[in-house]
Amino acid sequence: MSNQSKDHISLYMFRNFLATLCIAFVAMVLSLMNFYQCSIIEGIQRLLIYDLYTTLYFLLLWLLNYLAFEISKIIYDIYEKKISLLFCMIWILLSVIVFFIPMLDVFQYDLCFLCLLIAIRMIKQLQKKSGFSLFYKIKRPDNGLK
Amino acid sequence: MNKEIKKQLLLSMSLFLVVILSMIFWYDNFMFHTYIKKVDYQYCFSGNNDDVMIQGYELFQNSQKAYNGGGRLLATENNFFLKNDQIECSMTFIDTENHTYQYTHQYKIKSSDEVCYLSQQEGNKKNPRLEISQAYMQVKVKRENQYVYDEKFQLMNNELIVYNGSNKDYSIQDVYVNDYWLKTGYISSTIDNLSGQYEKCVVDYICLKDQGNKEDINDYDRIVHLTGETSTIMKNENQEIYFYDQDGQLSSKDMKCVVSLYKNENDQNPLTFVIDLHGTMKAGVNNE
Repeated sequence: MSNQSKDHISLYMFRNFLATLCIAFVAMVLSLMNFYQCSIIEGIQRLLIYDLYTTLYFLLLWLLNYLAFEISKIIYDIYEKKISLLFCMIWILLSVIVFFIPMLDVFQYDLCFLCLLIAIRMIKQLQKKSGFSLFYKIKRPDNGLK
Repeated sequence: MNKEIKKQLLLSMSLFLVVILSMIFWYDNFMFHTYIKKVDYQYCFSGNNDDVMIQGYELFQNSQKAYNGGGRLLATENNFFLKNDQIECSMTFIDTENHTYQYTHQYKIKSSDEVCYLSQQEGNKKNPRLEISQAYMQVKVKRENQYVYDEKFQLMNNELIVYNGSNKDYSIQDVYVNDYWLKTGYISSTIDNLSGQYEKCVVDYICLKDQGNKEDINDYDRIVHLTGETSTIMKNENQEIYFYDQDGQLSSKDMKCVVSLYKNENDQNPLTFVIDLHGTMKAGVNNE
């Protein structure tokens, strides 16, 4: 493995770590804000300084998110040829369905954001593979404005 | 599927399972420590004019009850309150939506210059996000069927700090503290049938003496002593109020809770443990 691709892997890992951390963080803070009817600052305080067990569970949730995301990446790589935009739609649909499953709201928020993250990653990969663009781009003229 | 991917998938799956199992195992503990008894609001007011001073007047609501009162009224001069005086305190609170709440307390002076502890009055539940913007108190003193004193002054909303503490199985939550006042919190345990195992429970709130050693439990003053049957203590139906009248600010002192559980009245070796109280979350809003 070349040094450059190693650098890329650490960069991707860091990016995924950060994205999954954000998901766990937002899900926990939203849940605490809902339960205590408090401000975002108080929600963050309750998550990070109020009780060690809450903070540790948040870290576990983050780890779970990260592993789930990595597994989704591996599965995508295995079935890359069979995966189409339909699968992305299923993930997006799942992100809505989780709110109808009776469970603690923190897991609902977390799973919703995680499904969306997986769907976004899939769309990005499909876009890379097929070269389609999600946004309409105006092509710049080759030699100045005409 | 090549070997490398297979290995990665297997490793991720096994780690994933370990994390899931840990989360299932810790779920009850997480719920116990995270989603605790909810207090809708807790206000503590104080105020004074040249003659009288009120401290620790509460407005409180949680999922079970709402009440007001509980403060203490003191005269700043000697012989201001005389025996058999009838004190009438009218409290007015205005919230940010301009709703007005009025409460009246009556108190009969039993001996001159005594400290008047106002009673707690249970009331109707209000908006859980109640924000008081203004507060006033009117004090009337009735002596021999005549009003000899009638003054109104503004109350200040005292900033509260919520102290919490826990170990693996026990937690003490929502201990409200300001510079001169402490309200005991809610004690709870993950252990089922705790009252069956331990008949009697003693909870002591202790605070560090000036220039005391944090690590030495003998350098702490006992400020609140709760004792009773374990089942009664664990129900947390009544919270104790403590007024700190010494030098310094109570909120800047280190506080701990010493919990002792006795199997029976004659138990010589109770289960005793210390829970450090910590946290700086501010409750309520300032009344500027």
